[in-house]
Parts: sequence; C-alpha cells; structure tokens
Amino acid sequence: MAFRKTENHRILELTSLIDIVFLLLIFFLVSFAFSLGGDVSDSQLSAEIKLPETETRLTPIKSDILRNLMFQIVPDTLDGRYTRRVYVLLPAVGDSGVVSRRRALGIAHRDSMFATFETDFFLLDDASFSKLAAAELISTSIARYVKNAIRVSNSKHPMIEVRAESQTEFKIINFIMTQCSKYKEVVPQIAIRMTP
Amino acid sequence: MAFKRSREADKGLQLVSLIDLIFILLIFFIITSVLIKLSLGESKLYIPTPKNEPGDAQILVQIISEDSLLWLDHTAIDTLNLYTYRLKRPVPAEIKRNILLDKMIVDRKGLIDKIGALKELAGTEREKDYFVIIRCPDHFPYHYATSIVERLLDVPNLEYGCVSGSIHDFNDKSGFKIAGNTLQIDFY
Repeated sequence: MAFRKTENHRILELTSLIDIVFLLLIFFLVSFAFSLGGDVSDSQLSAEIKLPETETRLTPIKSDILRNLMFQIVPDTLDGRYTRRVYVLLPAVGDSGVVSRRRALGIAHRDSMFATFETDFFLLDDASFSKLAAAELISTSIARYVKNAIRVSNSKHPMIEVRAESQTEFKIINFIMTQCSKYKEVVPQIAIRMTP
Repeated sequence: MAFKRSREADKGLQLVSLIDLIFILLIFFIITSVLIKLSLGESKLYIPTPKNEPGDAQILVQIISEDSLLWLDHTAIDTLNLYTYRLKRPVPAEIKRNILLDKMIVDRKGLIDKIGALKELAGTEREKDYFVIIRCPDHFPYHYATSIVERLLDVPNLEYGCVSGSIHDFNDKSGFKIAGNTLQIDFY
C-alpha cells in the first residue's frame, strides 16, 4: 500500500511572530509607563513616603498629579501686545481625592483664579509691580496656602511649584521666589517645572 | 517535460495580518511619542527657597548675557587694589568700574570653575556661612538665573538670593568703596 508523504510545514510564521513580539513590547512599555507615572490607588495615597529634603538636579516629570500649590505662567496678549498670564492651581484638599494638573488648570479657569500681567510689566519697579492684579493674586495665594499648609498638604513642609516656559521673564519668577522667601521656614523648597 | 505547478493561493496578500500589524505599529508610535513628550518635554528643578533680602554677600554674580557674567568675590578687592595702587592717585568710580568689568567677567565655563572652587571652599569651611547674590535683569529668561542656582546646591552652608538688576546699575554713582575686606557697591 502506498502512503502519501505529508509535507513538512515547519516554516516560521513571521507575521504572527512580529505580531506577538509587538504586543509584548507594547504591554511592557505601557506597564512600565504606569509604574513611573505613579499609582493613584488608595493604598499608595495613604502610604507615608519620606522624601529627600532637596533634589538638586533637573528630573523628568513622572506624574501629572498636583500635590502642591502651583503657579502656571503662560503667554498671553493684552490689546494685541505680548504679555504673560498666571494661573493658580490648587491641589486637592483632605479626602477629596487627587487632582491632575490639567484638571486643576480647568478649575482655575472656571473659578477665575488667573490674572494677566500688564504689557511691559518687566519695566515696572518692584513697588509698582507688586500692585498689579496678577502679582497680588500670587502673593495672596502664597499667603493663604502657607496659612492652611497643614491642612492642604500631607507632607511636613509643603512645596510651591512654578510651571513656566524657559523664556519667561525673570521678573515674575523672582517675584514668586521673593514671596516664598518670606515663608522660608514653612516653605523651604520650590520646584520649578521648565517647559520648552 | 513535467513542470511543477505553483500554488496560486500562496501568492495572495495576508490582509488580516497586515492590518493587524499596521494597527500595532500605530499604537506603538502613539504611545512612544506620548512617553517622549512626558519624559523629555518638561523637567523639574528642586531648589531651596532663596533668601531674597538685602545684605552682605561673599559673592555677587551679575548676569550680563547668557554667556557673560560678572563674578565679584574677595579677589575683586585685590584686583582693584592692585590696579589703583599702580595709578598712585585717587581713582574715580568710573575707572574702578572699568577695572572690574575688564578683569572680573567670566563666561559660562569660567563660572562653572568658579562655582566649583567656591563649593570646595564652603565644603571645607563648614562652620562659615556663604551667601551668593545673583543679579539678573528683569526681562531676561529666568533660566539664566536658575541654571546658576542649580550649580550652587548640595552644600548646606551655601545660601543664595536673587535680585533684579542689570550691569548698567554699576555706574559712576556706585562708589566701589573698599573698607577693609569689604567692597561696597551702591545700586541706583
């Protein structure tokens, strides 16, 4: 009896292989990104992590969750002329959960927690500059934040963050730093988030 | 002669696998682009809150441009004394100013060397407090100043303060008075 010899199909299925390799790659990339981004589960939030007093080098942003008072400075125009606008972004208080920076920005916009600097604000002397609505918003926000520091932040020393383009005028950043220096004992550290 | 008949079915494009692969590639590039934006687009610098108060400082750093700075430390007095002694007459403020601007200006590389030496000194003399004042014009990008602050960190007895001001404030009215080991400069 004659038997037909079966063909040996041992050729590697390249398409399926690439398919699986890419799937695995994406899975590990995404899971790695989540582990960097910080979990927002209750167990993580309630954990007490002792952070170092100061970090001294530029570090990449790992999470978009807002944990401190933040001033976000963005370009703006006033009467067709170039200027800057400052938003006051507040972190979530107590048990009200967590808030992302984007969400806090939306809340600041909704609640009118922003102000625009006058054009050529950098030509003003310090006294005139501090009387601008935007400067007063910054100083009152810092004062209020420091006053409620214990309730607002879980950490012993709350931090103040500034998020601004690298080209933002020194006048604004220095004003914020000067306001913070008044409360150096309570706010020993400032975080500057520099955007391109 | 017998020819082997090729199988027509094997020549067809595997459309399902192709679409599958394209979608996977698309997702891959979307995710990587988002990750790159997150990791490279923005960075955070932690700095101690400055001591923005007027007062005595061991070092004054005046930012002139991105790559040019005036570094005034104890050697500024020696430099002024050396050059004014040669003149053998009372030296007006304008000349003192020109001497400082001529001899004490450094570029970024020079600044890094100066800061390195200062940190080494502050590290060895831990009982002494060092204070550095950084003066920057109001309209300059703030990263000119924060890039200096970033380099001053790590030493506990080294504090800094930031003030507004340009090189034009070093003018004829500034005085540049030397009293003992102190150089007094008045800014108007």
